Amino acid sequence: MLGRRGTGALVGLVCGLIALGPSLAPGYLLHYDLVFVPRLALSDRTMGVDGSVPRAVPNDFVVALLSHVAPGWVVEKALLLAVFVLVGAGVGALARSRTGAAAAALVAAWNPYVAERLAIGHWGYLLGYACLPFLVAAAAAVRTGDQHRRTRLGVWLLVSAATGSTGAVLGLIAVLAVLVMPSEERVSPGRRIGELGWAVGVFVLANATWWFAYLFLAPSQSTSETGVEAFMSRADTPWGVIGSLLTGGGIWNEGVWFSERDSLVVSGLAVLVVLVTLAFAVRDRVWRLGPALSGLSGAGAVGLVLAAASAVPGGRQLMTTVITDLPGGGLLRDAQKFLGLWVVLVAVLAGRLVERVRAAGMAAGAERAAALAIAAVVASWPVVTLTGLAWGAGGEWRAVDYPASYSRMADRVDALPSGAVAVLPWAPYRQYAFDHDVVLLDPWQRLLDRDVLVDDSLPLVGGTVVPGESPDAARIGAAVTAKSGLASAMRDVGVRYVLVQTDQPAAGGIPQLAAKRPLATDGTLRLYNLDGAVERPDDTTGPARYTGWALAGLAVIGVAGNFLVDKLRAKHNGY
Amino acid sequence: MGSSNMKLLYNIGGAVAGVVLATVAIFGLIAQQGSVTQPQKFSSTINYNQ
Repeated sequence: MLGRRGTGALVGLVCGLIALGPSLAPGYLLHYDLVFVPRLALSDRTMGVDGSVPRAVPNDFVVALLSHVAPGWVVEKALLLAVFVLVGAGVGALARSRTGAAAAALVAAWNPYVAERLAIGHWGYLLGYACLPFLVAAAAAVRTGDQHRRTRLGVWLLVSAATGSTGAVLGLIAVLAVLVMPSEERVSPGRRIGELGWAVGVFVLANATWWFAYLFLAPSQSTSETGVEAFMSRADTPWGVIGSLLTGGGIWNEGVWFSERDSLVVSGLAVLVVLVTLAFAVRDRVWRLGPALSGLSGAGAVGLVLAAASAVPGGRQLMTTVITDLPGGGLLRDAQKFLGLWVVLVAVLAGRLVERVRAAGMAAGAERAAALAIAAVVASWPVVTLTGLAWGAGGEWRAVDYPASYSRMADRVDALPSGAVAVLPWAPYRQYAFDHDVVLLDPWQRLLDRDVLVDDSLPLVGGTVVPGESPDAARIGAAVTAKSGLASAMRDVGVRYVLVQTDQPAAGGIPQLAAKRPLATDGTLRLYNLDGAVERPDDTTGPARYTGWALAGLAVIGVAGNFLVDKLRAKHNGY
Repeated sequence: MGSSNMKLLYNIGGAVAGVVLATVAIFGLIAQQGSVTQPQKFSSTINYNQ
């Protein structure tokens, strides 16, 4: 018989299978930022020490490790399914009964936050989101003094760190909320400080893989105001930004919204259920029902406030100032991502609501089966209000294979003498016929095992362009726009080879490369050698660039050491 | 109110909730089907939010 955690995991698994549907077939699911390749190289780029903005660190490193033991598409599908199973299991364990666990898992695994972040390809965020209930439970265990409590919290902080910066920060907020919320138990200030110190210490060390790299980027690669404006939460329902956020939606990118949420009735039902759930939570004063619910209530409120800040008077200016002027403020860009904390809270509270419905049936003398059936009907609201997620977003998410010419070209480039590669047309996103013309981040940074320069600006509908953060890419972009000096600009930033994708649209046309030495032509791909002296002001050499990873190693050693100390203590005490 | 009435009320409430949710689900499916569009086949610029 499954327990609460097992029930939640099972519900999550079923949700994942139904949501991903046809995309689970062999092949790659490729859209927006969801880019997996057959074998991601273990390189300075995947480790975030190549001088570029470490956006997918260390999650790309984890993928690189895994893709050395299984094909990239297997790794991708396993990670995506893990989101559903993990978050279901996590919130299930926070419920009071299997009924509540199933209902909570359904909300946590099937909601606009998961759907929209999956649609935009932010799998790392979602894995971080899936860790949240485990972090809450682990931090609550620390509060209640369970054996091995610190080791358990440390392990989940390490797992959370592996999902990337966003997941790790979400996790830290959840943990701190649980640890600092007032409670009735009497705990010495020293112990409380020790608990906080442990959590913050493990977090800081474990996440050095990305923050250490950011330390050296901050002065030259700041966040632009255009980006702040572009990535603010938006209303994806007729209920405004707040109504959209309450139900887990509100992502900035209209291209990944689910159309049924545009319906007043459908999204209205979701808003209504969330409000009823909150009303009962307030009536029950859930923040007084133990450290897990107390902390989760605080963390959920923080997540909602951060996501909604730009939609309230004065909030937009404040967020803009914080994001553009404060070191590390860039983490608050695309603030809707913090809504994951709120969604986990709503999931747990919705589980309690369904438990209440079932209990009301039993109290009214209804048959056990009838009470369970009605509870199941009520629990189905997440699916009812988001039917578009089913079967790979209505068949839009499909597994595809890269053309054979891509593998051949990647092998060919990797065999060439050293030198970076620039990819043309100079644009960050592609639409490939083999991928059903969906928008996709250029995959060549991951397909090639060397430095690859691509345009990192973000063109948006309406003509707005969010500037990129790479000075090298900006220099090439300027040359492309000016239509002169491209080859020398490329050489100056270390580019020796140019890969041209002839099947891609080019706003300003593809720069004329006929005078350059062609190396290969394969399908829609053309490879050129720029020849001439290639310069590379190499400011990333030396072992010092791995300092962040050394610090993360210390976090692992610290958690392992704590585990051993726990074991020795247990043995000494005769457990 | 007697226990049999409570039970009846609960069952009716459950049935109404089921009907409402089923109706909304169908409504959502229709809304979703009605919004299916062909992917953009060609544009000189590929936008992140298209």
